[in-house]
Amino acid sequence: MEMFHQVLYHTANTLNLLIVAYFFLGNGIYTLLMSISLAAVWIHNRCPMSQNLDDIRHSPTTPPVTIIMPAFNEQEIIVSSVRSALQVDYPGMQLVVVDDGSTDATLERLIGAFGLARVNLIYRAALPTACVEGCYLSADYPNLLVVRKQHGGKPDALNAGINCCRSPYFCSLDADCIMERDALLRLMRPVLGSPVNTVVSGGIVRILNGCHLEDGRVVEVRLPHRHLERFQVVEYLRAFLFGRTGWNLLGGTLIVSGALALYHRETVTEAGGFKADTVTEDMELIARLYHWAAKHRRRIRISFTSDPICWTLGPSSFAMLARQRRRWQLGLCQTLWKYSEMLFNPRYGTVGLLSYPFHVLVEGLGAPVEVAGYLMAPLALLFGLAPPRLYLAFIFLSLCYAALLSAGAVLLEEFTYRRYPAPDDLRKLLWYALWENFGYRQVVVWYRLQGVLRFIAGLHKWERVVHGADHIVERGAEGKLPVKA
Amino acid sequence: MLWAGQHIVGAAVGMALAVLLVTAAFVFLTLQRRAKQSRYLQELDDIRNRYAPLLRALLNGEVDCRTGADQLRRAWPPEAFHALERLFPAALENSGQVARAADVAEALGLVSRWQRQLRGEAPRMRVRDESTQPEHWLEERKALQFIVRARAAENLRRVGHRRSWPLLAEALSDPHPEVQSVVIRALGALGEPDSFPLLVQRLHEVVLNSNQTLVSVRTLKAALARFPLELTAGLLPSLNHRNPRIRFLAVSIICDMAQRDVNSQESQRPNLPPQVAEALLDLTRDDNPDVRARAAEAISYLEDSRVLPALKRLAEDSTWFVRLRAVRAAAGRREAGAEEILVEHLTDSHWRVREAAVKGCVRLGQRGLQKLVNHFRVTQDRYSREQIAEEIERCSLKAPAATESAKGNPTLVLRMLLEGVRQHTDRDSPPGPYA
Repeated sequence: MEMFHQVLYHTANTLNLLIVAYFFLGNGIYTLLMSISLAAVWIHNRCPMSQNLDDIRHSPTTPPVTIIMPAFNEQEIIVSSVRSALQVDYPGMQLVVVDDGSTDATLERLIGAFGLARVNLIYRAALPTACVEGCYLSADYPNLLVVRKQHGGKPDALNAGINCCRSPYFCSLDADCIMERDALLRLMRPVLGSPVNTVVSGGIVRILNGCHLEDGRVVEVRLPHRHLERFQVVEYLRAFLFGRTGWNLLGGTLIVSGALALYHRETVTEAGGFKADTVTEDMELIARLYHWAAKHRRRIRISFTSDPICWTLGPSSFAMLARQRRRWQLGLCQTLWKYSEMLFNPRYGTVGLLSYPFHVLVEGLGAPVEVAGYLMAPLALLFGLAPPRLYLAFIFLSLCYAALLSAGAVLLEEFTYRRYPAPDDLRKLLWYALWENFGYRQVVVWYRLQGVLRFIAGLHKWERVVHGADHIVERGAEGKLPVKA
Repeated sequence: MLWAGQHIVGAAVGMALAVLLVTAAFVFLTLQRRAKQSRYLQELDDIRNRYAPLLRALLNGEVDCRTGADQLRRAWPPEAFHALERLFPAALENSGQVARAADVAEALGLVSRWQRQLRGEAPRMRVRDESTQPEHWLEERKALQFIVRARAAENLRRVGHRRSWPLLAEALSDPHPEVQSVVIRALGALGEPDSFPLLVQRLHEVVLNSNQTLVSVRTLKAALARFPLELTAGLLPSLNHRNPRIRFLAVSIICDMAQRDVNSQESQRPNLPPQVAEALLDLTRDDNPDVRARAAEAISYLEDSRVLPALKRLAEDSTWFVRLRAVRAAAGRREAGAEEILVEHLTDSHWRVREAAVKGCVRLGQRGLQKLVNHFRVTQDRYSREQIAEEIERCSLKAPAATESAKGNPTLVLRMLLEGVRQHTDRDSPPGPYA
């Protein structure tokens, strides 16, 4: 019995040390990212090259872009989403909507709303996809093409869109997202302004819930009404303004949200397009592009900018949030596992030496370590391994630090974009930033742990998020946006 | 002896309290920032409302420039000079105002201020509430002064102050790439002929030292393409350069300049200097396929009897994208024989060339469409027929009811298709995804 206690004691101590080291490592990196993001976004907002979009709009060197919108059973929102995308301000913009074998009235609604006619276009499959059943064009909207294909999943639909696209760049846009009018111009800016071939340019995703819409555009930014959605607003601010901006500055962008991203078509096609072997096709593609570039000795850049904005619906129930987070975590683990040769590999530069290890250690293993940390306190109490006060003190410290990072994200938002103009919303945002880590965070960690367990179990399930019907405030008769049954 | 016990607990609690303090500071800063920003924007609005009528009158030429500027300077509170600096470029509403903006900005003393800033010798100004005005905060921090220089160059561009071009040209060698990029853009916008060779030289430097430069080739290309077509002679050294990328970029710039000229004057043939035209025709025989492809497009703007034979030759090129450009260029020519190039490539081995040939025929109108229909009737090439069928379907989309009613009557179908083609090509909006 004494020996068992000794083994337990040493194991617990080792675990403790690991968790403490993990805490300092993770938070140290986050603090670094926060500091550099604060400086980077502040400077970016003041540089004239970043602010003037007229030159891009009128320049003969601005390449045309095709927006690819994959849609599966989106009958409630598809018309307004397409209408919104057609309003995007960009010279020579085309829109390809890929109906991925919807079983509802998605296609019929599109045909009715845009006067589409079926035409026999030649489909050349540079990337293999499920069978394309038909193409539809409209006399009134010459830059709109709708492709109807058999169901093959989002990556397959995106590949079908790429096959139909003729422009040198394409932009992926989720069907439940609203892109700001100038987002495409802003996404193109790093491509045009960089001396290196920028093959992916990503933008920021913000929570649409609670915002006021008119004619398919966000006209008033407000916080959502539900607590769960408000927590997500803070979470998105932290993830996009801190994490991604910081990694971009360090040259280690590994995640670009597929909800809004601009891609160099030829490079993506050469790299094999989107793959369905992970449940997060966007992250997998980014990792593959790095891999492909290193293999072919190409100099590429993957950029993230924090001012091209896309508004997306956040889950409004715990069930949907669970689905979303499980999928994200599963996809992250799958991608990190698939490209594990990048880990600490100097061939991949910052990505291999910094960003990839960070994503493995902090993002990938974060949930299990955090849960282990929470479990140690009652276990220690139960077995008398260490003073419970020690665990409680560390848990308290880690939660306070997390609150600091969330408050920092709101501060960064206030110093830069100030997208929530109502003073009351700002106060609420701060409040939720502080309390996000006491309850909500643990729930999300639990969902993420489930994602990790699914990865270990070898499950590969795309969990679809269905949104509620009452979190969007509409104005006007046009653009009846996002309400899904 | 469980762990180092109390000390660690104490340290953790101490750290947590320190973190909480910083968090509280963040919250305070956020709220304070919001309050200050609101005040600052309110001030700006007040100033804008107070002086906007005078500023507008000045920019519209309703008030004499010197008198109006004096009046505005006297009325404007000295401590709010920064607001004028910020509001002035934003106040420009139309091209007429832009034309007068340089003189007005000069009379107001803004130009000399921006010039000083661009040189990096901006004077420090006393302001009422410094913390609300990031511009002055910036001026005092050396590491961030590049923003001040970049903004100064941008302001000179926005007011179109052409006399500042030598200073902007000097700033091409600014140590910061952001300033360099803004200056390149400014020089392109001002269009001062003497700055053209400097930008060309910069283009060469950037291409030849692509690993060391942080300036984008596209920025330079876009700036050069804004100059008038008469200056293309300045690109002759680039057209004859031994580096194929420089030759390619030079031809691309000429194409962009010519296209802009065509768009603005609505004339099909812009006037390129004869020596440039010769150089472009020579480049159709370049070793590099990218250069040949771009040259095919460039010569399509020339009024020269050697163009069509050159396009014919390029349309037989072994590289598919050279043939593609040649076929597209041929579609824009009106001479007899242009459509022969198109018809010959309706059965090209590469689908992009076939597609361009079909679209080219449609673009030629009745003449081309007739050729297309004839080819459709006789050809055994399945791919060619598919391509033509697709294009006809696109055209008939514009007149669906008419083509439906004309079924079985080829002449009528053709007429209806032509109507569709007319609508198809007349639209202001960009062509469809397959264009």
